[in-house]
Amino acid sequence: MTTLLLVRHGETDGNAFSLAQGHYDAPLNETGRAQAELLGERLKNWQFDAVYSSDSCRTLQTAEPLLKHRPDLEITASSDIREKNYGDCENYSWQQLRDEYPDIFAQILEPDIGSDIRFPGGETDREHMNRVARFTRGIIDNHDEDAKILVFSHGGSIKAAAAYMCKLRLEDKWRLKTDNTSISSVISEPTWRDDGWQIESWNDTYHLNGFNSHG
Amino acid sequence: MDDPNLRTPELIVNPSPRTIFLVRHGETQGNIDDKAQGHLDVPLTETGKLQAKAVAERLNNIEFDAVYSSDLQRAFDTAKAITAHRPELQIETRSQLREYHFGDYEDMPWAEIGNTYPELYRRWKNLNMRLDIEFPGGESMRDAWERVGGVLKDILSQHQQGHETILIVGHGGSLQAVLAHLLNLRIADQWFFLFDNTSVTILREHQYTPNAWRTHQFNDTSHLSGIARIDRSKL
Repeated sequence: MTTLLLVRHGETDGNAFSLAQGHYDAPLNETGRAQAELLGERLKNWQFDAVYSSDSCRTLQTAEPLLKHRPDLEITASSDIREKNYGDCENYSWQQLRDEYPDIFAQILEPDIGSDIRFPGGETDREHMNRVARFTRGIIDNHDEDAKILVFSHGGSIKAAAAYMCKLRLEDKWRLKTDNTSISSVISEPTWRDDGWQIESWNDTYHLNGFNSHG
Repeated sequence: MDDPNLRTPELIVNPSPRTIFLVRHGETQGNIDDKAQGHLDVPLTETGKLQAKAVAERLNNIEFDAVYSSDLQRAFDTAKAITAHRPELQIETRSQLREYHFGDYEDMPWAEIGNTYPELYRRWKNLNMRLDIEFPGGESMRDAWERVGGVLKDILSQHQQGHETILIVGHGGSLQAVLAHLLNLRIADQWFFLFDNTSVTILREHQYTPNAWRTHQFNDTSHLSGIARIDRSKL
């Protein structure tokens, strides 16, 4: 049974203002750094066979407190699990996206076609999922089948990984909310079915103990 | 980005979202033995009672407007533990929140069902075929899906003021159906979500999408640290 522990980065100013950050490389804000400390405390005695991270500043910073507790852990950073690329619109607010690209904005919310719509220069949801899926498949194949793998990632990329592993409809992935520094666990080869993966737990923020600025 | 998490007042279509907490019953001996319990009315184990107390503690600062439970004692006793110190809360029992009715297979370990009825077990393990199973002496999976959907609709219709927080205590199977109905998932996708004993799952209406629910938390068992629990990977 492989376990993927998918952790979302701590809060950035962009999160606090609901911006589509994408590949925009914002650092954690003060809240985010405090969340990352609490996460590090929570995870410091857990066993991991490997640790990966998106190479974005906000995910690497989120991993730092854990790595301080655990100098034995080595982290592999990759651009392949960055957030979805919003192209020309990175760091736009949702309101700006709607006002400047009303047609694209409306289409993206349509279940049947939304996954294949892009903002200018950006990725579609499907392209983003395929990128995340290749990365996820790659790290699973790189480790023993009972490996426990920790991944510091982004809200959109965590949902894309879970949707890919569990074969959920891409258009349903927004039904799974991910808060800053939440832990979501996806496991392989459950005994109760023939193949595939299951969501073991989702959006666990126990370590924040209510210290979570987003409702 | 956490998706259309548009905290933009102009775009709000539902300013008073409701919240549903789902809690699975505590451990039973049948859970330990990996049996199909279905409508068998079995009690919690001592561990199950501890788990129920722990989840009660976990939920103790949540102000519920209503509590619904399956009428089977493993669920009802879990609900009772949660409401123990809250005289203002009445538990409303709903038999439609019961587990699947496994009929002739009830009280059999799943391994034995697999050996004795390989064809049925094959369909059970293939998620695309599971919905078409009819349990002899019990119910069809499709009927179970419909009955849970029916009671959920009824519960939601009782709470339309907005901002309500509702607790539903049920079973592994019935809670999967509640989750998939609320999230409008494909029917077979419900089985990707396994509920552990006394796990807490939180669903809330989305402020920016009409009639849409999201999972804020699934299968949280952090209150069980220090309490014995079943290791699912060994079943």
